[in-house]
Order: sequence, then C-alpha cells, then structure tokens
Amino acid sequence: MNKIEQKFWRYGTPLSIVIALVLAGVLFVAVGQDPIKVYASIATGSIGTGYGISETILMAVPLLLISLGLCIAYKGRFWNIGSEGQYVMGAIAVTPLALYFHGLPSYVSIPILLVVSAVVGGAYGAIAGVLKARLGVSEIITTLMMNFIAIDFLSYLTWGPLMGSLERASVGATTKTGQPMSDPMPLTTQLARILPQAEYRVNVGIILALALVAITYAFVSRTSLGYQIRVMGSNADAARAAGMGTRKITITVAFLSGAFAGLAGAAVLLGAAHRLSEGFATGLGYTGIMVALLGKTNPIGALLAALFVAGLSTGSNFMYRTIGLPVFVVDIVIGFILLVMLAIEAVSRVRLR
Amino acid sequence: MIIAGLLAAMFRLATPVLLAAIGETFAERSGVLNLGLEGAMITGAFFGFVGTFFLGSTVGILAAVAAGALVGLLIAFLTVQLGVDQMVAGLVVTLLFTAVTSFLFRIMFYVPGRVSYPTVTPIGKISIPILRDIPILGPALFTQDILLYFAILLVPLSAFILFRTKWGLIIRSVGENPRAADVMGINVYLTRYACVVISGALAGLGGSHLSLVDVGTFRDGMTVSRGFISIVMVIFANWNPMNTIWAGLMFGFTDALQLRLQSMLVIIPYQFFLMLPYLVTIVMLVIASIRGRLEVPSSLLAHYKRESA
Repeated sequence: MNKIEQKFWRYGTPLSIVIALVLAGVLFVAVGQDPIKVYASIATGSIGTGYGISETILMAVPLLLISLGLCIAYKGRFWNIGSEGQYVMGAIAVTPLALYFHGLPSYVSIPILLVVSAVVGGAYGAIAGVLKARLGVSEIITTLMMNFIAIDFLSYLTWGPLMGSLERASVGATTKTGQPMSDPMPLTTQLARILPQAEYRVNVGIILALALVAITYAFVSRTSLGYQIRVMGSNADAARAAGMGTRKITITVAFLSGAFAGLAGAAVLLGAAHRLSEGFATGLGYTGIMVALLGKTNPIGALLAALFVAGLSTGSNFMYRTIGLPVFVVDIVIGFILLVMLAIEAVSRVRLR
Repeated sequence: MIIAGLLAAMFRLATPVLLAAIGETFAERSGVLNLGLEGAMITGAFFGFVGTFFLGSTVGILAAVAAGALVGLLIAFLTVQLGVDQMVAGLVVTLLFTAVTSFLFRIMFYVPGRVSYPTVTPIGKISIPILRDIPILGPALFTQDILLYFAILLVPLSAFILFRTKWGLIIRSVGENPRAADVMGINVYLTRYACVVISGALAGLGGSHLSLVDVGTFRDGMTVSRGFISIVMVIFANWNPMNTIWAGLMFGFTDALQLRLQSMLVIIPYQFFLMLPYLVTIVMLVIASIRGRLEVPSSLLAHYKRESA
C-alpha cells in the first residue's frame, strides 16, 4: 500500500492534472474558446503579476485551513462536508466580539478572536460528531444540512442584530439602501499585512496557516491520537477491538475539523473581508473538500493543493475579465482532476496488489 | 382553501425528493450508495430546462432523464467498476456537475447587460375528472402535473418490482450478498449498473420537476441539497419504496408550511422558517438512526470484486 502511494504521488497526480486539463480543454473548445489562451490567461492572472501572487496566497489561507481540518476528519473517515457552515459560525462568533474589542491592542484581541472562532466552529462541527458517536447518525447529512442552517442564521444576523449602524440608519430612511452587513472590523483586530504596497492584501494569516500545516502533520503522523484516528479510518472494527474509544475519537475529529473551518472564517473576516455580510459564505467550504481530496488528506499535499486551487481561482477571475469564460471553470477543472485521480488510484490499487 | 393550497404545495414540493428517493432505493438495495444523487438532480434540472427552452417540455423531460442517467452511469463506472470509495465518488461528481451546469447556463443564456434570465412556461396541470371534485384532496392531489402523478404511481410499482418480482429478488440478493448472488449466476455488476443508472435517471427527472414545474427556469445550485435529503428519505423509509411517500410528504409539508409561515408570522424573521426543512431532515435522520436500520442492505458501501477463476 505504501509503495502504491509513493508511485501515485510521483506519477498519478501530475498525470491526473494533465488529463483533466485536456478534458476541460475539450469543453472549452466545445463552447468556442481556445483552451491554450484560457489556461495562459489563468496563469497570467494567478502567478504572472505580484498582485496575482498576493491574491493567490490570500485565498489559499482559508482553503488551506479548511482542508487541514478535513484532512484530519477524512483520515478518520468522518465525512464532514459542513465546513461552509462551520466557517460561517466562526466568523459570526468573532464579529460582535471584534467590534467590542476596538480598544484593545492587537496582540491581545486577535489571539482571543482566533481561539473563539476555532472553538465556535469546532462546537458547531462537534454536534454532528456527537450525533454520529452516540446515535450513529450519518455525519455527511447532518453537516451538510447545518450549512444551510448556518447560512440562514447569517442572513438573519446581517439583516438584524449585527447590521451595521450606518446600514441600519439607511434601512429606516425612505431610500432603503441599507446592505445586509456589519460595521467594519476595528483596525486593531485586522490581520497585519505583510507587504507595504496598498494593493497587496496578503497578510499574516499565511504564517499561521503554514505553522498549522506543520502542526497538523505532526499531529496526524506523530501523536498517539493521530495514530488512533488513522486506525479508525482504515478499520473501525479493529480500532474498537484494540480498545480505542472510537466515540471519543469521532467527536474529537468532528470538533477539530470544525475548529479549522471556524478559524478560516476568522482569517477571511479579519484578513480580507473586514465586514460580516450576508454573502460571506462563498463556497470556500465546498472547495476546501476538493482541496483536501486533491491533497490526498495529507497536510503537505493540502498545502500544494490549496496553492494550486487558489491560483486557479484568482487566475480565473482575471480570465473572466479578459476572455469571459465563467469562473466555474475552476470547479470543473478540479472536478475533472479528482475524477481522473480517483480512477487511476483505484485501477492501480487493483493492478499492484 | 388554505388547507387545500397547503396540501397542493406539499405534494408539489415532495415530488422531486420522492422521485429521487425511489431511485436511490434501487441503488442502495443493490448495494451502492449513490451519493452523486444531488449531481444527477441538478443536471436533470439544467437539461430539463434547456430541452424545454429549445424543443418543448416533452423533450425537456426526456433530456433530464437521459442526463441524470448518464451521471448515474459515471457514478456506476467509478464505484461498481473501479471500486472508488462511494462517499468520495458521489461528492466529487456532485461538486463537478453543480459547476458544469452553472458554467453551461452562463455560456448558453447569459447576455451582457441583461438582468433577467430566460424562462419557460411551467408544465401545465392536468385535472383528473371526478377525482378532482373530492373536497380538499381533489384540488390538492388531482389537479397537478404529470410528473407528480408519475411519482405517486411509481411508489407501489417500485415496491412491487422490488418485493414481488424475480428482478427485485435479484437486486436485493446482490445488495445482501453479492458473492452468493454471483455464485448463483447473477451478474452482480450489470445489476448494480442498472440500479445506479435508474437512480440517476429518476433524480434527473426529479430535478426537471424543480426547474419546469416549481420555477420555470434554471438557477445555480437550485436543488439546494434535495438530492442529499432524498438519501435521508430512503433511510427514514427503511429502504422500502412504500414508505418513501410518507417521508417525501413529510419533507414536502415542512417546506410548504415554512413558505406560508414566512408570510403569516412576520414577527419571526423569515430565515428561521427557511431553516425548518433542514432541521426536520436532521430530526428524521436521528429518528431513523435511533430506531435502528433494520433493512440496511448488508453490502452497502462495499465494493464487490470478482475472484478470478
């Protein structure tokens, strides 16, 4: 099995990417576009300019955080697809607190806010873990349903209690121009930018994310709990027979994956969006699933996959402005890569056994 | 009048999940969890709309069924043929086709500067003589669209096929013990392929009900997880098509009720009513899980690999 994985790493993933780019290219030809131009434009927009690189890294941060959590969950075969909701809940928890913390220095407020986002996102994810551990309720359904509940809750809050004072005033007026969004986050709670130029939005979130890659890697491969998660994922019966508390592990894994997603919510809110709005959930939670799978639930794989997918996204926004193909190109390309990757992996597993 | 309207909406909103749940029952009874149901449904919704827009509703409905079946075929190839994890395959296919449909919709229908999207006339209602005169139930159940009637007829028909015919016995034996079925000379792969394709086709049909009856257009991700909800219906119905009708109607009722409550109880923010169908789905799943999964097919989620002779 190890040998297969090594082989796959070396040849399978690059091969999958090439095949998927060809497949997606066929689709582009079918809709009357030159695939070479499309890909060249995506490359230019993502890594061709300093701004593109900055935006790519900025976007990679939440994707990476979400997928790190999912790496842990999926290693234990806990199919959390509720990152989107956990991400939203993390940001929701942070918003009123950050507004309240406006007088505190950054080095006090930001760590507290990050911890709160992780705890709230984790608690929201843990609900599905408890239901699974105690009653055997399928987490894939509960986590997904809770995405919609969280997004409806976000909509309520941004139109209601968390609506910014200026926005609220304009809703009351006859013009009704108020937008469903909070007041801006205080400057002291915003994540510090790394580069001096105003257009480069990349911030210290990437440093936090990189540190968490190392921590997650060590946790999964070097700790006893990480080992137990892996055993539970490969054979739940064996884990129980060996006396492992699979219920406890399930709840832990659910909490951890939710915590990472909640943290991603805080990273976007404090690092780039600076306001909680009704449209805060943009599908990062679902893209994060693809990133985790693309990285083969390995933290370092997730890092590469997050940069790749973030690059595709940033590049696609540029491509949309220049060529005009819709940005759904990103999900299509990643979807094709995953399909080919899964197929190659399944076939090689049979062949090499 | 209010009750008849509520019941009519209940049946209408139950139809997509009911169709998909019946199909999923076949797939799961044969031992395959088609988690790509959501992907098949959104694809059906899209091609149902496209077919209707250009060539009329008959073509639209057929296109939806065909498109859903093709998504089912892809799932079957990945899971039944190659042995890809059924959870992963379903997720990836759903995410892929949600994107593909949105992509194609933009390419085909988006004109810069135009605000509104194209629509089609929703499929007409067929009123059944005599039955439509029954008080309350008449206008609620017997003045509806053809897909709804088909879904309701499909319930006893699928139960009959699954539990009273040789074909049904074959499906169930493949789902319970594929190796034994194989030894008996049953083609395990063909049976599973057929069942997964059926589940895709019916999910596609359910998707077309969303775009052609409920809305009259296509919207990005308009299935909003109804494919996944259908999977809950299957569990709640204990893998018996006869019970799917109750599960489906329960979902339809919640959805219909929350739409009405939004306008009746304006004192409560409408977002809390929007949550209701998802909360009810979770509750239904919890109830089914507490009760125990008596009929869960034994080989569900397990890949069957034929021993080489």
